[in-house]
Order: sequence, then C-alpha cells, then structure tokens
Amino acid sequence: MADASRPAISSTFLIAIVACGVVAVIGVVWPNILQSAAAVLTTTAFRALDWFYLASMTGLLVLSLWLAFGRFGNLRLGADDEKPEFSTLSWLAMLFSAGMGAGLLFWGVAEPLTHFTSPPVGLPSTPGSARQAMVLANFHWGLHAWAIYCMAAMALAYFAFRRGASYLPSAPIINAFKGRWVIPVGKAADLIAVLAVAFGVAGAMGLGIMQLQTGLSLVSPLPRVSNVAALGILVVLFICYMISAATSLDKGIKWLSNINMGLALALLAFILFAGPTAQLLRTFITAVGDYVTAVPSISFRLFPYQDLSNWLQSWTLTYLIWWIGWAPFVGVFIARISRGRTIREFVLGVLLAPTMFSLLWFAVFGGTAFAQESSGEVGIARLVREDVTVALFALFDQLPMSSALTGLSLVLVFVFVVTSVDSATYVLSMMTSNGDMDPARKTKLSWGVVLALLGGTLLLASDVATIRAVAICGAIPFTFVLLIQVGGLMRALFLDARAREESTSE
Amino acid sequence: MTAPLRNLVRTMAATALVWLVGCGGGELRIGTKAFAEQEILGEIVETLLEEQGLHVRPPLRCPDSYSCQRALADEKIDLMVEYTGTALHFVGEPAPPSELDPALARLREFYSPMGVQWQTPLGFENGYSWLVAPSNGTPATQMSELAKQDAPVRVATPPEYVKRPRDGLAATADHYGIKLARAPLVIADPLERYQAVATGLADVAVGYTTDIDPSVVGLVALEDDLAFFPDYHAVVLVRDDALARVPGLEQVLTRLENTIDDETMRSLNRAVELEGTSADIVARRFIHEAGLSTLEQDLGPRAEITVASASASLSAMSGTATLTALRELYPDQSTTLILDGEPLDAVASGRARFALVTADAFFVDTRKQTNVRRNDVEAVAVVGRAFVHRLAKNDPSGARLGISKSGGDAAAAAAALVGGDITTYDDDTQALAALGEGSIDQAFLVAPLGDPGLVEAVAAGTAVLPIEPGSDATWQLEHPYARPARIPTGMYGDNAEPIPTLSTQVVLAATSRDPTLPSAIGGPAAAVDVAGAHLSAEQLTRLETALGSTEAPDPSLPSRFGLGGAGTPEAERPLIDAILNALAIGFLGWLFIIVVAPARKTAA
Repeated sequence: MADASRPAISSTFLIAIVACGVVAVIGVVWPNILQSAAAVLTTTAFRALDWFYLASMTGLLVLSLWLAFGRFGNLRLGADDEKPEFSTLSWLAMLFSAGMGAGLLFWGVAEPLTHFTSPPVGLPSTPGSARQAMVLANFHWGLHAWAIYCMAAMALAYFAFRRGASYLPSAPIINAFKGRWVIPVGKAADLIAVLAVAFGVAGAMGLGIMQLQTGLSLVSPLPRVSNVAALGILVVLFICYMISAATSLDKGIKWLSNINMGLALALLAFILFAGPTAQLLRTFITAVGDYVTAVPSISFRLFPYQDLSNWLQSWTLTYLIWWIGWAPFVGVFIARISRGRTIREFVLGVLLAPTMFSLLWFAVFGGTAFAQESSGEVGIARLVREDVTVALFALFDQLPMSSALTGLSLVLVFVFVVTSVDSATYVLSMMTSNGDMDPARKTKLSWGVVLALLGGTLLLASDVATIRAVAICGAIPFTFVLLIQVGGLMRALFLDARAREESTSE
Repeated sequence: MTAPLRNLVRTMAATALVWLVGCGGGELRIGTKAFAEQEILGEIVETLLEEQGLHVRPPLRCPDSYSCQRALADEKIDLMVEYTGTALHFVGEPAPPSELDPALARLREFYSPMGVQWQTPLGFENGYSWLVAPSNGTPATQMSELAKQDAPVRVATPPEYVKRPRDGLAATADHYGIKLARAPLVIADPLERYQAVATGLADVAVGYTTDIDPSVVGLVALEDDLAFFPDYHAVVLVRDDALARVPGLEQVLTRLENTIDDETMRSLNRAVELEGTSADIVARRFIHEAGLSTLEQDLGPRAEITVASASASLSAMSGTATLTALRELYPDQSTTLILDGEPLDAVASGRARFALVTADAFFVDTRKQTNVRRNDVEAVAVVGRAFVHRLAKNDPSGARLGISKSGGDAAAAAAALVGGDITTYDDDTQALAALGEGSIDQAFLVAPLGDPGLVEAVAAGTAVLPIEPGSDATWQLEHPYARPARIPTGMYGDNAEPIPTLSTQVVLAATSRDPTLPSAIGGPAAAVDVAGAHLSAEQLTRLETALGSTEAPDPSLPSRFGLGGAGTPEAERPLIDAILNALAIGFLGWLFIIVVAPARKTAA
C-alpha cells in the first residue's frame, strides 16, 4: 500500500503545518482579513450550494439505512468469520462517549432555548415553538450528524479491515478507483481532511475556552471579557494536552475520559431528578415522536419560497458542515472500535445510540430551560440572547447546589476539550505520517503547538461567529472528499460482491 | 463490569465533594418587580453585595408588587426595593403620610412583626402621574378638570395600576369623579403608553415620575390638585434573618442610602428603556460614577448601535422617535445618540451605525466644497422634516448673516439666496447668541418646526422672515433636496400668514446595502450576531413602520427607491453562484460515472 515506505515526514505534514501556521499568523496580524475571508468562503458556498449540501447529507442518511437493511446488511467489517473486538455494551458506551462532548454542554441549553424564543417558523415562546425547538435541535445533533460519521467511518473500516488499508482519508479512494487522477486526488483528500480536522478542532477549542471563561467568571474573580484570561485558559489546556501527547498517557486519557463520561451522566441524572422530572420525560417522549415524524420533511426542507435561507445557512448547514469537518477524525475512532461488526449492526449502533442520547440530553436540559422560562421568573432566554455562553450556568442558577453544578460542568468542559484535542493531535499526526498508527512524538507535539496557535488566534477574534466560520472552512471542501470516499465504498461493495459471486459460481 | 461500577462510585464521590463545597455560606436573593427601574435597582444592590464577596443568586422576577411582597414574607427572597406609598396602601393605611420619616415610622410598625426591615431610603420618589397631550384636544392642567368633561376618559395604564384597590385606576377616578371609558388600555411599556396618547388612542397615559421624560412626545403631567397620591419613596427592604445571617450586608446597604436622586433614576431608566443597555451594565456604570466602588468594573461596551447627528436640535426633536424605532428593530442591542460633526462620515467609516441628518448632508463634500452627491451612504427611512428658519432681531435687512455648521448646505444655500457676509458658527445656540448680541443681523438655522429653542427666541423678540427661492433653475439643480415650503400660521408667535421658506427631509442614513449577508457566517451563533452592516428589506419595512413614516426618501437621495440605487440583494444572482452550481452538478455526474464505471481487469 501507499504507506510501505514510511518516511519520517510526509509532504502532507509539511504543507498542512505551513498552511495552518499561515492562517494563524494572518489571524493575529490581520484579523479582519481572516474574518472576511472565512465569511466570504462560507457565505458563497452556502448561498450557492445549500441544496447540494443538504441533499448530500440526507443522501448519506438514506444510503446508510439502505446499507443496513439492503443486501449488504450481513456483510462484516472485518474477516467474514471475525468476532467483534468489543462487547456490544462497551461498544455502545464508546459510541455514546464519541457523541458526548463539550458541544452538548455548550448548546444543550442554548440551542433549544434560542429556537424556542426565535423560531424560524411560527410564533415565539409558544407550546408549538417549544416542540419545534426540540425537533430542530435534534435535527442538528441527531441522525444526520451520525449518518455523516457512520458513512465516513464505514468507508475507512471497510478498506482497513477487508483490504488491509490504512486509516488515511485517501485509502478508500486509492483502493477503489483506478486512473491517473487517483493519486493526486488522494493526496489532496489527505490534505483537505487534515485542514478540516485542524480548523474544526481549533474552533471547538475556542468555544470551549469561551464557555470556561464565562463559568470561571461566575465562581471566581476572573473577568468575564478578557483576552488575557482566555489565553491563560488556553495555556493551561495546552500544557495538559501536551503532557499527555508527550508521555503517551493513553491509559490516563482513557481513564479521564471514562470519568468524564460518568460525570456527564451524573449531571444529566441530577438535572432530570432535580427538575420537573415527569415533565422532562414527557418532553423526551414527545420529542422522540415529533422528531421521527418530522425527519422525512425537514431533511429536504430548503425554504425556497420563504426568506429563511439565512436561518437555514446559519443553523442547519453550519451544523451539518461542522460534523463533516469532524468526520475524518471521529470516523477513525468509530472505525477502530467497530472491527468485526456487520454493516447492519454498525449502522444501527452508530445512528441510533448517540441519537437517542442527544434526544434525552436536549429533552432534559432544554426542557428544564423551557420550564424556567415559562415560569417567567428568571428571564433565562434573555440572558442567553445576550450571551450564549451563559446558558448552562443560568440554568444551574435556578437549581439546588448551583455553584457545585457550575464547578462540575467546568471540569467536564475542561476535560472534554483536553481529551478531544489530545485525540485530535493523535489523528492529525497519523494522517500526516502516511497512516502510521504510532506516529512520531515530535509530529504529535508539532500538531499540539499548531492547534494551540490556531485556537489562540480564534480567541483573539473573540467572536463566536468568526470561530464558527473558520471552523467550517476546512469542512466545506471535505464534503466532496467524503462523497468520493463513499462512492469508493459503494463501488468496492458491488465489485467485491460480484467477485464473490463469480468465485462461488466458478 | 466492575470497571464501570468503580467509575460510577468515583463519579458519585466526586459529585458529593463538589456539592459539599458549594453549600457553604449564606446566599442572598433579591426580588424585583417587572419593570426596568426595579431591575436596575436589583442589579445595583446585587453588584455591591457581590463585590463584598457575598454570594447572591440572580434576582427573582416577580410579576407585580403583590407577589414580590409575598415572596419576601415567605422568605423566598431576602431583599427588595419597595415604595412607601405602595406599601402603605398595600397594608390598608387610611391616610398614608407623604413625608419619608412618618411614612417609614408607620411602615416599620407594620413590617417589624414579619421580620422585615425598612432599611435604606435610596433618595428618590417614583409616583404616578397622569399625562395628557395638549395638542390632542385635552387642554387640562389639573386632574380635577378631567372630571368636568362629558366624554368618558380613555386611559392607557400600566398593568398593576388597574389592579391596585387603594391607589389604582378605579380609586383615582372615584376620588376625582372622573368618568372612565369602559376598558382601559393596559400597556406595560411606558413609551407605548405615551404613543397611545400622542396618537389619540387614549386621552390619558398613566406614567411613573421616574420614567422617560414624557415631553419628548409632547405630553404634559396633570397636577394632582386634590392630593390623591402620597409620595412613593424608594426604600430597600431586607429580612431581619438575612441581616443577622450575612455580616456586612447592613454596611453595604448603608452605603447606598440617599445616593440616587429623581434625576439620576430617570437617566438610568432611560438608558435601559430607550437605549436598550442591559440593566446590569447600567447598574455598574452608576456604581462607578457614584463612586460607590473603587474596584475595576466592566462597564460594558459602548452602545452597540450608535446614531450620529450633527444637530442638537434634530437629536432632541427626532432622537426619541428614532431610538424607539431602532429599539423595535434591534430589541437585544443597546442604542444611543451621539453628536458628531460629520454624521455621514461617521456611518461610512463605521463609527456610527446610523446617521440622523437632513437631506442636504448628502450633497456637501466638505473636502472640496462642491455639491456632489455621495453614494456610499444611503437614506433608509424618513424621520420627519426640517425647515430653514431665517431669523432677524434688530436689523432685518442687514447683510451680516450667520449660519451654524449643523445647518449644513441648506442653511448655506438659503443664506446665499439672501446674500451677504456669511459667518459660520459651531452650533445653533452660538448662532442664536450672536444674533441676540447683534454681531450678526440674520441667522439661518435648520430645525424641525416648533424647536423649543427657536420658540423661545421668537418669544424674546426675534422675527422669522420669509425666504423666496425664486425660479432660478440653476439654484434648484444645485440644491435638489430643498423643497419650497411654508411655516404654518401660529407656529412661532403670531404670524398671521404662512411664512415661505425651504424645507428638507430629515432622514435616517445607513451604509449602502452590501451583497454579502453577514448573518450567514454566524453559524449556530447567529443569535448573537445581529449587528451586521446590512439592513434587509424586511428590516427596512419594520423600521418604517416603527417610525410611523410612510414617505419615501426624496428622489434626489440615494435610496432603494431611487432608480440609481443598488438593486435588492435578493435579486442578485452572481455569476460565481452559477459556476459553483455547474461544478457541483458536474461533480455529482463525475462521481456517478467513476462509481458505476465497469471494472477494468482488477488485480484482486
């Protein structure tokens, strides 16, 4: 395969590092240029190609369901007689943990509340807008997101486990297609994937730091708005994940990640039982029904005759594109833990487990926020409109032991950011060392530094909008790579099936 | 399965630990009623307490006085700000004293048994006032005059006033013998109540004396000639147990005593209600300015949306209407008026978001002194009209003319029509002063009709003279914004005939529409990204509705109504979009072909 020679430094590494460095320098020296470049890129792509992006993502969902229930459902990702590497329970638990992250803590309250008070369709702050808010939040965090990860992971897993390829984003392309275009497109795919992950993770780090800063300003004398404080948090994060990257504390990170998962579940349970429990469970069950009913129509809804394309672009498309940016990274993780699963198990597990989790999460956090908002005593919606980062903490304020909850969630956000940046440096290093599963330490350290630089640059922009725009810049072109990967997967599935038929009939 | 269990135990242990840490110390909670003043006062108290390291939960927002007092009695809250008159009526005192000291003495008798202290008088008084619009056919100056009217009185009232049995709407009307129209208009927002009267929907608006000055929309307060209302001094109430539990609380409250007078409270309310600054920022600015704290405070950003105006007269006459309209357009952002010598430059360079200007401002290139229309800024809505006032005091035919900078090209052009030596003053006040002391003979000032400064000057003996633009075609071409107009009779003193002069539109200007939609980059954070440079067609319509203006900007101005202006952004279909779409379709076709292409001899 392509990674036979294993040179110490790949050309992808050099180009990607330089590209990220240039972006970081531009962001520090001429922040306006970075801001407007990111804005022009994302705006143009969304304005012109919104139909393409939404159709692609819905297409991936339909395709994954067809794969689960179609003729390839029983095909195994691995040798035909291979047993799954992990027990079903721990596999599901790991999928949960892939779905859980700082993002859910950030948006768990803010997103449903925003849709509740300013819905795209219908009157604000009504029972109808509350139900719509749940549907929209889950639309952005549910099946569509996981269909993207599912197909990205399946393409990697199929070629890795059945063809012995590497986890490089180019592997499905190089192995499925022939022709002179394959090698250059593969190289480009690797590079685009690296940039998508780097920008996406830096963006997530930026948002995480903003939330940490808001939370810390509530429980400590740290100022709410201060570049120095934000950079201080960044430095602490940097030290934490660099130590882990330098010392290969894989066990430690895994342990930390499990603890965090447990804490997040404990938080969820606490909110569920400390809040209006029965009401929240009603919200959950209703949200499941509403979501399942709404998915067929909202999956294709582009509002061509209403003036809502701005809304669609700034919410739905931004989210879905963001997931695409994370796909090369989460895909590797999901592929690695899914060896030996059949395609049907794989699709159902990857689609349903995290989606159910996010339905429950939004029902509990969003539902509690709705209850507080409708009681009229807190004005939580207004607080969130002024500053989205306060959403979670404003919710806690109305619950018993609010400062303990704030402290706990700060720990959660911090650990989530550290563990995801840590895994990102690993995956980035893997992808820039020709797919080497044990990349050199100095490669990991370089990526750690670059991610910190990018994150710092975005923080100095100190504007959620810019962070998001930059975070999805890499993902916009990666959509095309993902589609080629999936095309390669489909081609290989059919060709391999035909080859098997020919070999049995001969 | 032991590992997850162990994790769970660890998790619970960690949670319990954090719980224990979080529970120490006494928490305080403030209750606030549902209006701006209460929110501000709540924030002030909260900020001061927090500064002392006391832990304060976010205020409990009670819908009205009843629920707030109930919450205090039920120990749900520890502090609130109450008004003496409200509480005296609340407990059913038959003859509530107005002075602070007897009122407090009486209230302490009632509240001490409940464990509640009337602790800190804040120094201001916020009572009710009945407001009428003289221009609206209600010439009354005293409330008892309303009782003499035949027609039932239509009242626009805040929600709680309708409910209050002792000093509410029904009680007031009964006391004076006023016939009320069947259903009062219940409107929570003070400006909307004012507007209801100004537009004739109601005859009387019930206001709070610390609300925004009602004279900005031409309302005046009626005298409470039968002395129905007691005084409503604002006082901080605090529970005894909170005072005992939280050391330092009493001392913080003492520092607040008599720090806010009526005028200060009015300006704080204005900052929140009209300018949309958040209550906590207003509170922190107050604490900073009153010197109540030496700590570094986050005083918040300058207002997010600034409206620049060169003329004090314009901002006084049209500023409130503009700010009110922008409040509807940007409900979440703070707005403020600033004075700026070059308002359009301020908008073009981003120093201000909007400019409040007369139409002639578009035509003066101050660098070259030529009349070229500028197109980088565009008129988005018409706020009103301004007239050129030609004023003379001693020598109406004298040729020493004065104009003020804020009068712009309109004043200069009018002065040039008359002819003479032109002196330019910094603002209208200076020009008027110069006219008064005789250093100029005539002054040309551009102002909306009925500008209080001009009314005053005319009352002091200044005359308003006619301006005849004549039929000079060149002059008209050079000054396309000027419309021949007449000042109506009786507007200034006793002019029996309409006075011919020039008028021009007062417009709100903003940067020309940019085809890039900034909101699209907002991502899921679009909710926080509302301050783009671009105004959508929908926003423009809302702005016009909010301003109550139906007139389109003059065709000589750059605007979306003009033929020369940019098209609506929705109609633009840039070439790049078509190319990208073609590429995307091509990509899908190519992908389909390479996926289904027959396999060449594959080496398995």
